[in-house]
Amino acid sequence: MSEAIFILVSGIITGTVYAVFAAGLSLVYGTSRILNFAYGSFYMMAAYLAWFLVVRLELNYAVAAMVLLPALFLIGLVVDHLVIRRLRQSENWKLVSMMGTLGLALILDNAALVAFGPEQRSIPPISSNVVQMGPMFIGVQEIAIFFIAIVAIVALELFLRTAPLGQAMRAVSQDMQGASMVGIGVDRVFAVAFGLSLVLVGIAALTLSPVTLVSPQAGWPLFLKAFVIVVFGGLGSINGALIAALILGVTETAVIYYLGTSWTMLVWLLVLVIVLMVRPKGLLGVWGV
Amino acid sequence: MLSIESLNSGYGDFKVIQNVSLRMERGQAAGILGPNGHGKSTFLKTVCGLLRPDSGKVEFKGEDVTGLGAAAMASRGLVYVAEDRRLFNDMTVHENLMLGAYLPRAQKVRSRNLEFVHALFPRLAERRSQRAGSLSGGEAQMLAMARGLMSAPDCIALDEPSLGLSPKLTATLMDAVVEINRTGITVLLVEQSLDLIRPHLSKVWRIEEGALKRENPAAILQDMEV
Repeated sequence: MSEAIFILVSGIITGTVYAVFAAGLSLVYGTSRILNFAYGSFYMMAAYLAWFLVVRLELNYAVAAMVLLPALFLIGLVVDHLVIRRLRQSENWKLVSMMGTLGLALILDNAALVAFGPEQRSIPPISSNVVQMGPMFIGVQEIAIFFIAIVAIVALELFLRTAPLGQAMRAVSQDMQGASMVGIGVDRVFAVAFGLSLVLVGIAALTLSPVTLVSPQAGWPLFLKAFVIVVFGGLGSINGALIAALILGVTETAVIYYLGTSWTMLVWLLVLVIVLMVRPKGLLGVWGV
Repeated sequence: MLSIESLNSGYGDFKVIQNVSLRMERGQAAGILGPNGHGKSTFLKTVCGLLRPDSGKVEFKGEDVTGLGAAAMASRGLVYVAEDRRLFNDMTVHENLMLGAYLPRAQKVRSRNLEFVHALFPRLAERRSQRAGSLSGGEAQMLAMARGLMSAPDCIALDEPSLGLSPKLTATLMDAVVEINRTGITVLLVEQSLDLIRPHLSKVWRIEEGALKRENPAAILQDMEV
């Protein structure tokens, strides 16, 4: 019984952070229909930046976040302007943008290899204290991660529901042509969505990298997980991604608990195959795959 | 208000609109008639920035707007209402209307315009918190038109609003078009039949195989007698 509760609690915490990360991938796909293959590599880059700020410059977490997140937003706007927008103009933009972002991923990975070397880096946790909650012990780090992730999700939802630009983003994702007809600058919405996705990447990097270590290849498993979450939840649906992330977070924790860490990627990919076979449009999918 | 000179447009190598010119004055209501597949929609989409013209010139309020996108056209007051409506289906009726007033020029007159569209289509006021995707065909068309009006247009281009609607609903919508024109908004209406609204139109063209002809007045009189 207590192990079931442990798996559930720990799985939900993991799932919430995955939800934050996957929401960015979904947001960009939902608005511009571009599947960003460099998403994991941006995570890796953000994790190195976080490491640089927290370990090298010895800034505290809050200050590091205040530097990192706006910087990532700006990087997102620049990358959208210099790379993504050009890829989108191609006649075969779907294929071209996939290949283009994959190329961008390789560039980022190798740049990190050159700049930081192949060895793994680690970021100290926000806190290594443990508190007792009923029958179980839980790290303050996990609780902090959970609350940061929840705040990020609620803020994102509020932005999409109430801010004019958030409304415009939802409008673009529902009907791009309709959005341009009411005067919404679709390119600007794409750029902001891309910038926001990197902010979410930054939040994930700040919360996850104390646990997962930072290395030039660190982005790929996480990209695959985000991809599975987004397909499972329904491409482009933020709410679908939240539900899928929670289910998969708990599943992953159970797999680690009963079978061991080496089974996790296998289970994730198995979920992907099953979803594609049984319900290709995902839980709350609008467009299908 | 709107002046189009030898416009050519189409899809890639497939030329649909050939050498079309027309002029409209401020406050006019004009119609373009034409059977299916003769380029009515293509023409209107090109004028409103949803398709890029191959050649020719579009002038709106004295400014050369050739080749601008739909958002830029809307911000200048030329608003397109699509035959396939293009609503935001997962949002409520009210959210759709509010997004219609996205542009600063429309935000300034948002509450006045909301009152106007609610008076024009009381049905939309009743359905304000309903999902746009769950509306009936007639209500969806009302919402499409109302959303266009929320953008505070100087000229509204209506692409076959009667498509797929019953004669009764068509009559309601045509009354609304007359009402819209009466507030001073220039109206360019594209339809397969203009019988219900012809007396209110100051110009009617017929589009055939991508070319525009001014409807001759005798034919109009004949139509009206029938």
